[in-house]
Amino acid sequence: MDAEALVRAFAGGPPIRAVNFHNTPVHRAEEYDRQLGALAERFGPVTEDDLAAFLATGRWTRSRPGVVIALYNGYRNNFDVMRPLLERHGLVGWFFVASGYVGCPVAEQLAFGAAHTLATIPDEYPDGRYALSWDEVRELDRAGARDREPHADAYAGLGGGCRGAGGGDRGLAAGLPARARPSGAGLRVAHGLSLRGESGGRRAGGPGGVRGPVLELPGAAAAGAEAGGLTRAQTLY
Amino acid sequence: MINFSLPPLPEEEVDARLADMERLGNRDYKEIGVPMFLVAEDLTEGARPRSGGDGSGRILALLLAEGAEALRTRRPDLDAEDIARLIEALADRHFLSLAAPSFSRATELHPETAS
Repeated sequence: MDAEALVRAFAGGPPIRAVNFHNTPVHRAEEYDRQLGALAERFGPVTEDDLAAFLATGRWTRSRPGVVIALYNGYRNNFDVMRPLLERHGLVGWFFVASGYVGCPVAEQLAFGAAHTLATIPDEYPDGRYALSWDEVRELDRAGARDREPHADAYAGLGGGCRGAGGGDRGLAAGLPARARPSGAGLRVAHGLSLRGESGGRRAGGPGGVRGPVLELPGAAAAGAEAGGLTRAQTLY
Repeated sequence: MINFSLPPLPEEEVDARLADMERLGNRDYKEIGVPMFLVAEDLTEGARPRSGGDGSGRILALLLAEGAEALRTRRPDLDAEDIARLIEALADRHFLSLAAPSFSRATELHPETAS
């Protein structure tokens, strides 16, 4: 979208608010706690159903505006640090999981991350596992499915490039139910600004002509979803 | 019909906004939360227009239009990154304030009414 189109789009109704995170290391836990507390004072959680209804009807029916807490890439520290904070503050986390990263053997995760511009915190995890485990993804999925309110919705993308992993197929094999899949038509939620900040660095104008990421929802999926070359086909679990 | 327009931003304010965009762009994105305003793009031409809300969308539209015009005085050919950085700055400045309830509806300011 160019500036004029964005102006018209913003003028057309309330925006969707999101706060995008990537790594969430424990040394910043107090900062995240304060930020989520401030957000929870002003905003309500946004579930998958809430956003799908908003996109389908054009109306936001809750009394307070919603905020999407987005956690990108499937970092282990999202589970360890942010998940309990989200629960404390009653907010929903949207975990956009690069399933190729999660499916990568521990010994290869640092190399996989470096090859896909997935920033890691040096020596954060002595055991070398920097990505979510499939058990953790399943736990996030169960939390999200349990009540569709505070907890988590997990988003998994198919990412290749790891020699020893089954990538997204492995996620599907893990028994995770698909709640949304890319399709050929629908609404696309363009992150007005995520041209930068994706995967923890400047991406606009970078290799591959990175465009803003696309959030796909049931009945509102988009064609050509691509997020920085990390994920091509994306599936919401 | 009243035809009105705001005067252009003073040069100093354009400089300050550009400096703020530069400051934001130099943050360590990999560990921080970055607020964003998102808009829905209709790919079906059949979606219903958004409606209702608190007017924050129109406020943002005005702020974006003003900012884009100001930025064009320095960079006539705005590219996608310029727009992204402009919206990043708008979100940084207005994300929380646009969510505040109106004065009369802020229950903590009117405890007697709230009770």
